[in-house]
This record gives sequence, C-alpha cells and structure tokens, in this order.
Amino acid sequence: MDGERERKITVTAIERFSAKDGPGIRTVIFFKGCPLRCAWCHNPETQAAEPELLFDAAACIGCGACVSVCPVGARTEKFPFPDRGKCTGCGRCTEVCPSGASALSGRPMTAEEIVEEACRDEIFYAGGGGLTLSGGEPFFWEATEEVLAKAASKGLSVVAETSGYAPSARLERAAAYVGLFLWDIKDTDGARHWLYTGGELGIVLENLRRVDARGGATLIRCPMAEGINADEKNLCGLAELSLSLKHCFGVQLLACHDGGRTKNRLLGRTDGARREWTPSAQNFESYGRILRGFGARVWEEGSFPPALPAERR
Amino acid sequence: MVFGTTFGGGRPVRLSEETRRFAAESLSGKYGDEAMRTPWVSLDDIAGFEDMEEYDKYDAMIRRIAERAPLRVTACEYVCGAATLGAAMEHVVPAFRGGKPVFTSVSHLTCGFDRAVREGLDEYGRRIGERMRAGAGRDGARQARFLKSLKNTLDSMRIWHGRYAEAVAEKKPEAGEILARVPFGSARTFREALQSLWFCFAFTRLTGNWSGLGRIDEYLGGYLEADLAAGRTTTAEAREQLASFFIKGCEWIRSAPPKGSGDAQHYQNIVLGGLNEQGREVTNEVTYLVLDVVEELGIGDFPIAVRISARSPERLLLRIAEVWRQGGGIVAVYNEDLVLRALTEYGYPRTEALKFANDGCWEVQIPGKTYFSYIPFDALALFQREVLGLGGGGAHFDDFESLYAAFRTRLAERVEALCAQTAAARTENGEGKVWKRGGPMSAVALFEEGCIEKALDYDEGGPVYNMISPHIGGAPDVGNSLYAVDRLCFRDKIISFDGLIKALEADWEGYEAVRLYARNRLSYYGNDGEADGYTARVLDDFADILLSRPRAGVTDGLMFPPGASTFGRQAEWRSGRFATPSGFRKGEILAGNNSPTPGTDFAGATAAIKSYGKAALEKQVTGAALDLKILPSSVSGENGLSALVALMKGFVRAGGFFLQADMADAETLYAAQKNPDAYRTLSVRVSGWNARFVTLDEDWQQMIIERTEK
Repeated sequence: MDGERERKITVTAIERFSAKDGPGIRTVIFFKGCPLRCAWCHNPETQAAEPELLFDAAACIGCGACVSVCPVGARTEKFPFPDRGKCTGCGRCTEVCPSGASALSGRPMTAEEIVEEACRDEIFYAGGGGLTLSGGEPFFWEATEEVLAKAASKGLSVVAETSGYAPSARLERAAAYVGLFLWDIKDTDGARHWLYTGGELGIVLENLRRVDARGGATLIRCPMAEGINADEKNLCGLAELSLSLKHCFGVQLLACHDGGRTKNRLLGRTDGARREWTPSAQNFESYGRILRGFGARVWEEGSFPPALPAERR
Repeated sequence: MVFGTTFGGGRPVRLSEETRRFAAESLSGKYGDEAMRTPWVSLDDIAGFEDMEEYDKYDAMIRRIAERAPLRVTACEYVCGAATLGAAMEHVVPAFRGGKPVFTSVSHLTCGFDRAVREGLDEYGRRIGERMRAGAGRDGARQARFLKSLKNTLDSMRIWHGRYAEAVAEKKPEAGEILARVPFGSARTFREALQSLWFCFAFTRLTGNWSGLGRIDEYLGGYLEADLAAGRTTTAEAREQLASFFIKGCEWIRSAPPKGSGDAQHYQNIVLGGLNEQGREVTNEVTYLVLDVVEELGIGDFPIAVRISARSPERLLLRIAEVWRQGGGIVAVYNEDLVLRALTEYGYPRTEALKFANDGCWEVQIPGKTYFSYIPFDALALFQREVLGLGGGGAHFDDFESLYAAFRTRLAERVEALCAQTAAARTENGEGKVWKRGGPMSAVALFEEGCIEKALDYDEGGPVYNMISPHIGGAPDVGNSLYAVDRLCFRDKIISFDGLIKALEADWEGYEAVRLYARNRLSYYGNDGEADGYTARVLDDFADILLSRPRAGVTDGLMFPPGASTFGRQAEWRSGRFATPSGFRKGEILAGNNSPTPGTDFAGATAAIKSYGKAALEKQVTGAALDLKILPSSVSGENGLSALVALMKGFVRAGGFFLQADMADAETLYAAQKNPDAYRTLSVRVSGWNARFVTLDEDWQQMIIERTEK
C-alpha cells in the first residue's frame, strides 16, 4: 500500500436518518474490514477490507458491457457471473453497467470526506444525534483516529459500533473522542466465541477494560443466536461484565437473523446465519428478563444512553 | 374495540368506553349510511321555482333544509347538531328539484367560526341589519338582495336551531341548556364554545359546504383554561367533549363508500399551535387534547396541521411524533416562520399573516376572510410537448442553457395565460377589481369577513382577501428531466440530443441500456445531490414569474400567488405525458407535490428534506408540500421518537414549508411486493442491518409485513 492509500478508509455504505445506531438521528458509516468471521454475519460485505464486486443476476440485462472493460478477463468465462478467482474489485465493470447489476461495495474515503458526509445532516442532530462508525470494524483502520479528531473539531457526537477486536492503543486513544461505544460481546464463553467468530474473547475483554479505564462510555450489545449463545450462562456473563465496568450503561440484546442472505448471494457466497438461530419473540423477551434478573441494566432495542460530543466531555 | 395503527405498542386508552363505542359506530359508517337514506329535501312542491331569482331559490332551499332535514341526537354526544343530508357529501346544496341538485356548494376555505363563537350570531343579525340600512353600492338592488339572503340564511339557521333545541332539551337536558344559549348568544364556557363552533360548522355542512375549522386550540384554549382554573370542568371531561366533536365529524363516513380518491375528504382541516396575533405561542391544553383524541381514535377526517418553529414546546413535538407513529398521516407540520415570511413578503401585514390557517388541504390562507381557489397545471407535460417537442416531431437544442431558456419562456407564457384567462372569466375588466356576479353562497358568506361589509357574496369579491393560486405540478420531474438531459446529452455525452428525443418518442423501446443508465446511474431530486438544483431552479423561476407580475395591495382585487402541488393528479396526468429523460416510461406515476419521484430517493428522509429545502420555498405563497413515507420499524423504540422530533427540527432549519410524514403501512408493503420497481427505495430496518424492502426474499418481506400489521 502506498502512503496515499493508507490514509483512506474503504467505506461500503453510508446510511442517513438512522434511529437504530445510537441516540438521535445518526449518519452511519459502514467501514469495510473486520477481523472476526461471525457465523451469522449480517453484513458479510464488510468482512474484506478491499472493495468487492456485488453482482445481482436478476437485474442483469446481458448487455456485455462489463466483458469489454474488465482488465483481467473476470467477466468473460462465467458470463454474466463474475469469476471471483480473477476479479480484483477494480470496479471498472460497475462504471459501465447500465442496470446496476454489477455494483462495487467499497469506496475509499478520506477522514475529511467521512466527516463532511456526516455534517450534511447537521441540522438534524438536535437532541443528541451525530456520526456513527460501524462496519465491519471501524478500528481496523488507522485513519479512523483522524475521523475522530476531525469530528471532534466540528463538535460532532460520535458513536462507534465495535467488535472490540482491534489494536488496544488505538481503542484507548479513541476513548477520548467517542461519546458512546456500542460494544459487541458475541459470547462470554471463550470457547464458543472462538468457534463462532474466529476471535479470542480475551482480547475483546482486555480492550473493553482498557477503554473503561480511560473513561470510555459503553453499551454492551450481544446478538442472541438460538442454540449458540442464547443461554443463561452467557446472559449471566454479560450481566457480570456490564456491572464490573465503571462507565458501562448496561446491555442491549439484539436478535440474530438471517438477513445477510441477500448480500451473501450478491457476493456469490452461500454461508451465513441459519434460520433456526433466530430466537422467537417469546424467547427473546425472556432473555431480557433473565438478564435483568442477573442485575444488569437492559436497554430495549431502539433506546440508547446519550452520546456527548468530544468537546463537551 | 381496536382502532387501526402501524405502531406495535397499540393506541393508548384515555376515553370512556361509551365514547369509544360511539367512535367505533361513527367510523364504521353508521351515520354516513343513515345520511344516504335521506340524501336531500325536495323542492318539488314549491310553485314557480324555476322562475324565481337565484337568491330567492337559494333562500328557499336553505329554509327548506332547515325545516325538514332529519334531526339526529345520539345518546353519547356532548355536542349537538348533525349534517344529516347525504347529498352534501357530493358537494352540492342538498335541496333537489325534480331529483336534481340546483346549486353546487363551497369548499377550500376556512370560515371564521371563531368570531361567531365569541360574538354570538345575534350580533351577526344586528350587523347585517345595520349594513342594510346603510344602503348598497354599485349594484344596489342586487347587493341589497344579497344582504337579505344573509339575513334569511341566519333566520333559517334559527329555525334549524329551534328544532334541535327542543329535541335536545327533551333527551339531554344538560346539553339542551347549552344549546339554548349558543350559537346565537356568545359562548361563556369551553363547552358552550365547543357547541357553538360545532353548530355553526354543522350548519354550513348541512347546507352542503365543506369548510375547514382553523385554529381550534386558539379559539377554545382560553375558555378551557378559565374553566379549569375556576374548577368548572376537568381535563378528562373536556377530552370526552372534544372527542364527541371529532366523532361527530366522522358522520359522513359510509360503510361502503364509492371508490375514488378516498372518502372522508371533506376538507375539515384543523390548524394547531403557533403564534397568535399578539405573537404569543398558542399551544395550550386544547392542543394536547386534540392530539390525545386523534392518537386514541385514529380519526383522520380532520386533517391536522401544526405550526412548528424553533419556539415550539418540546412536549408538543414529542406528542406529534407519538401520533405520527400511530400511522394514518393525520398530523402534518408547517414551518411557521417560513410561512409568515412568505405571507409578509407577499404583502400581508404581519398581524394578519399571524392568523394563517389553510383552505382545507394545505394552501395557506387567512381564515374567515379569504376567497381561495387554485389552478393546477402539469409543468412536465408542458416541458415535454412545448419544449422537447414530443408528439410533434421533436425540438433540437445544442446546449443546456438554451434548452432551459426555452422552458422558462414557455412556462412564463403558460402562467400568464392562466392568469389572464382567469381574470377575464371572473372579473369585468380583466385583471380587475370589479367582479362578475357569482352564485348564491350565503351560508358561507355569513362567516366570511368582508361579505357583510361590502355586501358582496363569497365568490364575487366579498371576502377581505381574494386569491386564485396557480399551482405548478410535476416540478420535481421537470427538474429530473432537465438534469438527465444535461448529463446524458451535454455532460456525459451518452446519447445525442436528437437521439434522446427519438428514444423518448419510442417510449425508450430499443434504448434499454441508455434508459437504465438514466434511471440507475444518475441520482435525482430527493438525494441531497446536484439534481436538486434543477428542481429548485424550476420552482423559483415559476414563483418569480408570478411575483413579478404587476399587482396592487393584498386587499385590492384578485391576487395570483404561486404554489406547488399535484394533490394526487400525478395519476390522472399520466395519459398526457411521455417517457422522461430520467428513464421512466409513459404511464408511470411520477412525483407527487414537491416530493421525490417514487423509486428515485435512496438517501432517506433527511436527504429528501434537504433536497426539498433547496428551493426558496417562501416564494410559494400558498404552499409547497413534501410527503415522506417512513417505515414504522425504522423509528421504533424510545429513540425513534427522538429521531422524529429531530426530523421536525431539521425540517424547520432546512427551510421547508409543509411536511406530511406518513408511516408506511402494511398496504404500502403489499403494493411494494406487487410493483417492486416503484418502491425500489423503500428501506426496512432490522437491528444492525438494513435493506431495501424489494430486495428481500419473500419470507423476509412477509415477516416485515406481519410486524407492521401487528
């Protein structure tokens, strides 16, 4: 990677008017690149750090424009499907595709551009809204620290949705800027954590404690997957963890779902969450009750603690 | 009983079981069906009716209605009087000769019922008498006859009132006592004021007219506050009484209405909140009780618009958000300061502007003293036929600015022609101050300031202000078309101008790759991008054309203030339109009002508001509306309310005019399943993940529909 490239972040999507990613109205920047490989991943296009081709066969009109511009011949042999072994994600085919069947997930953005994007909705941030970094893992990128500094200089409130699986020092420094970490703990059972996410739970917990020690405000989030982590042991662990931290607001449970299916199809993949992992409404409700029983403060879906702008803390 | 909602949490229950049952009866069409069994009173026995003068006919009709319309007093009602003749729903005076209507009726106004409540109608009788004695003007005999018609109308109203007073006194002594005093005497208490307001409104409806109600919290708030302070009533009691008003307002709902643009559209609008004439915030207990009632009962028959600003109490915005989430699109918001600027810059004194309400849709007017109508026209068809030359061999342009200049010229010509034709049709001397004679409309003229004083009827210059507002329709698609031509032909050079004309003439047949490029690769109005500038330019130029026409003061003759709307005409206009450069084929339904074209707004509600706010909307004097569809799941939870409040504040800061936010309901989602292309941008949200609804597979779509229906 050259120096120029390093300062850019690959962003796969920008969602404005989100009420589900932190307090108020938020502009959510979905970063590409994630060190974890959760079996139920809802945003599979954010795993790889590099831009990737999404191909929707149903939208293709078979015009062949992609074939003629592909520099590596990845659109010839399996036409209209891309040859993923050859595709480098350069995106040239997506520039000529009239129907949008070929689209590129991921465009490099500078920290400046990201903050500018968030500022477009500044007039809607009354009452605690702002910028949310999501993904993917936003702290996978070095330039994320630049995003934080620039956001702070604009007085933007920043929320970060993180797996906690990132360099400790980077997360510690971020604690000074991030108004609220929505911190994913996929499971408090280390063995299962490794099995279903490919990551060491210890690293996540260590980072969480370090951020807490720096005064970083957190809300622990856990996706409930039936038959995997949706049990009392995990819920108890989540409650204990949240209570052991000084600056943790509590726990928010999310329901695992197989909604990543469409995106997996566009990526030419077949893995993803299984339908039976989704908890029934009744079960999901009971998990909240159990968690409360263990003494944790539980935050319903769609409710958040405040996230103050950096300059006000 | 359950009143439909898009909100998973259900509707709150505050009202008594009796009132809720009354609401369910009314909403299920009981009273509307009843009215259809007596659609009109007969004039057949009146000898020589055909030879009578118009006002003689009219007065006889109103009297006949007052004498013979069936009375209805229900067990649960707190306010009495009912518009029981079904033909009134068809916008005619429901007194028929030979089974046919004689006169049509009046709509698109808000009568000045507040003055009647305050002063009592006896005072009106005195004023009419005084004016009669002063002698009439230019058209003496005719004007004297009009004044006599006002007096006759008032006398007829007294007959109708007498019949009710008797019936109510017998069945409901408490309500009878109140009715014995109002509306002829001035109201002293909240309940008297409510009864008086309802009775005047019901009389105009009984005689076929569809008036708005205006700022009922301003009219009634003082009465309620005094009653509460004196311990004469409680908030809960007042809520029941107000609910009665709303339930009775549903008396024209039928169990099986004819299909069309929807029933219950009788323009009985209410405006809440905002500053009063003294510049103080109006929002009071009545404001919140109105929101309570519509939140609980889901009554959409009184469309409500709240005047909001940076001064609005936080509680008010929160309550609006809560009602929004119940669905139905019942409550809309005005950006008060922008509307005030629009009115004062147009020439209204600030004290008058501060009174603004609307005509029953959302066109702004000063209530109780304004004649209003509007002239809609399709700017997209104009652009396609007269500028691009579609359907006539096609035009040619070498660059964008010459194309735009041609459009502006055609637009100015059309607008000028509309104004000139209207002025010639309605006034004696063209632009003029001297009106042609209008039809008898005494039942509304009675409640319009200016009509008694000038001795002129409602549609012949009687009211203080008289305006006919040309409304541009299809501006977003003109903007999108201009942008697409600029990109396709002049900037990206995807196709030559002549090639594009051929493609459009062919309804894009044989040009699929170019069409898809236009449709998918370009980002149009509503996404907070460069295309917005093209739409803003169209809107601003349209307004400037009208604003730069020579005109006198606002009280002097006929005004032609600009506005922008389609009011659903985007459907009927399809047949007169061609394929668009933005990639739509002939026959597709395009943008409504000032909203993005369906299927082109990908960036969400905040971006749509910003796009909309890029035009100088304060130049659209009678208004320009943005319609937003929001999915309930995207604003669920506590933070969903905060987000909706923040959205309203952003709408104000973005310089919006009028916002109608509707929670998309299950019906919308079913429609999206059937016609995915029109709903490509409808976004649904599951925690931690979002998707366009149409990209979900069937199971997922079904799940989200079910969640919405819950």
